[in-house]
Order: sequence, then C-alpha cells, then structure tokens
Amino acid sequence: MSARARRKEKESEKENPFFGFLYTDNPDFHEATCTKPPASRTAFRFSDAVRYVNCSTIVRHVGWQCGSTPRSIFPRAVVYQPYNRRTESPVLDELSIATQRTTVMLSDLRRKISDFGLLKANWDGEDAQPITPETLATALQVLERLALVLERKNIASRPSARPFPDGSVFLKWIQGQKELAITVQDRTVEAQHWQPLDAFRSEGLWQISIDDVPEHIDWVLT
Amino acid sequence: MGINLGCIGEVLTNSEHVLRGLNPKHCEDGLPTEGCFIVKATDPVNDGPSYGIHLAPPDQEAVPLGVRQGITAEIFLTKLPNPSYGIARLNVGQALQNVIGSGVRFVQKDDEDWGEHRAAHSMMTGHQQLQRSTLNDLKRYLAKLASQGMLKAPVTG
Repeated sequence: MSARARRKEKESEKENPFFGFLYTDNPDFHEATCTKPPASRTAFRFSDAVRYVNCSTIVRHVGWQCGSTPRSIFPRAVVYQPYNRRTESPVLDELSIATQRTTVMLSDLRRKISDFGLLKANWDGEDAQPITPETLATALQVLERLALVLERKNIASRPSARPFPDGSVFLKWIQGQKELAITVQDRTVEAQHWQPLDAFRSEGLWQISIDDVPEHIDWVLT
Repeated sequence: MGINLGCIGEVLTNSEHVLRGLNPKHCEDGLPTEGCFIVKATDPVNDGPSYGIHLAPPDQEAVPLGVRQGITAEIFLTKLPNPSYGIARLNVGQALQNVIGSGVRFVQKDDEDWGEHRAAHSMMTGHQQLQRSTLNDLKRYLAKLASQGMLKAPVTG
C-alpha cells in the first residue's frame, strides 16, 4: 500500500466510530452509538475521547475492557463517534456541530423518557402510578415529532420531561414568553399554551393527535 | 348544587398561610414542579390535597387571640414522609386569587396522624368542579407560587 493510501486510510479511521469508555457522568461528555467495533483493541486514551463528542443512543456494551486498566475506573462502556468532520467551510463546520448538538439533546431526552418505563408503582413514595408501556410509546412518538421540528429548525432548545404521579408523562417547554405543556397518558396527548409566562389562564387545552404535535412545537418556537 | 364546605371544617381566610410538603421526586433543580400540586376532578371532596396551617413564630406576625391551631415549618417537616421533603409557604388569598368564586377553598380538617397537631391540618377542596384546563392552570400557578415561598429546599440525589 502506498504512503498516500496509508495516510488516507489512517485519516479515514479517525472518522470511524469506535468503542470506548465513559470516565465520568459529566453531562458535557456526550455519548454515541455505533455499530462498528474498532479495528484493534488498543488501549483507550482519555485524551482521544476528549476530542470526540456525539449524540445518539447509548450502546451499553457490558464486558468491554481495554488493556490492563482496572475495570472499576470505567462506569460504563459506550461507543464514540468523531464529530470533527472537516469541511471546506467553517460555516458548515458550525452547522455540523449545531446539528450534532440538537441530536445530542434529542438523544438525552429519548433516553430520559425511556427510563420512565423503569419506574415501578409507588415510585415517589406517595402511591404514584407507573408509566404504562402505552404511555411510554406515545410519549416517544411525540418526541419523534418534536425531533422532526427541531432538526428542521436546527434548534438546540429543549423541553423538560417528567413522569407524573398519575402515570402520565409531562413535557414542558418555555421559550421566551411562551410556555407549552404536553401531557401524554396512554394514547391521549393534550397540549396547553400560556402566553405571557405570568398569565394564569392558558390560551387553550387541546386533545391532539401525534401528527398535530409539530404545530404546537412551531407555536412555542416562533 | 355546589359543595357544602361548611360540613367539612372551617374555611381558611385569605390572610392565613398554608404549608405544602414538596416531594423531591417532583422537584427539578431544587424547585417544585406541577407534580407537587396535582389536583384532579376525581379527588374526594372530603379528602383533598393536604396542607399544614402555618403558625409563624410570635415575633414574625401578630397572632390574634382565638386563632385556629397552626404548625411551624419545623414541626410540619416531622409530619412529612421523610426529611428530604422541601417546604413551601403559600398565602391562601394569593393561592386562590385566580379562582375566586369557583368554590376552591382551603379548609381545616383534623388529621389524627398528626397527633397533638391534628387541628393544624387542612386540605384543598372545591377544585373538583373546575374544568381540566383550569386545574392545569392552578397546579402550574401553585408550583410557581411555591417556588417563591420556599422555606426549605428538597433534598435530591
């Protein structure tokens, strides 16, 4: 293989996702997903990981360990994907980073909502109901519609998501002087608007379909 | 026909204050969310969400003779499920100012579990008649009010 080809292959390898380890729960240290294992199980360097950020679903690959580094140091195994894709333009670089930031946020939210399904009855110590699989499925569908809007607008703004004691999933989004609340229970989705923020009475409460979600997201973002 | 609140207990006046325990599981970044103030149309009329009737220390407010029994925040904390709960203090008039005339009230109701402080217990009722959108408006508003009246932050984590 020529030197040029070797150099090109080496550059290309840097772009490939690879398995690694999350050292901390630092929220700024994003996790990634990938389906391709590294070409070789060389020792993983923290300095390498710092350069790599991404955002997608975590692949929890229990059992991975590099070299002789004590397993106890690594809270969980994840896969990293390089983000510093070189482009011809710094503007495109910025757009790429912004896009990945949005994807990170959506990934975090997706994971958080999925974890609501792990809550058992009385999860709050006051007889809270668990989040049913149906509620969870509907909430994730809402999130996917939300993702479409955010990716189209390339916005990193995000709603908060919480489980409620009645077994519903509650999403709240504040943007400027607008507040949007989306409540999901089983297959029912309700949206409620407030504007300005200090208004007591809402502008309305609507029972909506999943396909109507983007319209309400557009309202809060514009 | 409305709810006859007189059959339940004395209705608290606008100048009084109530205490609400804040479950850490329903707080975010140390502040209460709507989850701390769930109010439903299906709440029993005589067993609504619980509040303590606040008794401020004597040097903070003039307490007239004959006032109903109240409870300090410190003692109220002992009535909550565990010490990690936060406590918010709400003025009755301010809490209900947006639902005046709708029948929503805080009423005194003895709670035997509170022992010697049983009479310092109150509950919210009358909200069962509100429309769903107004119930959501109310719990959102109470959460905001509670954020401004925190006496003790919840312990999370």
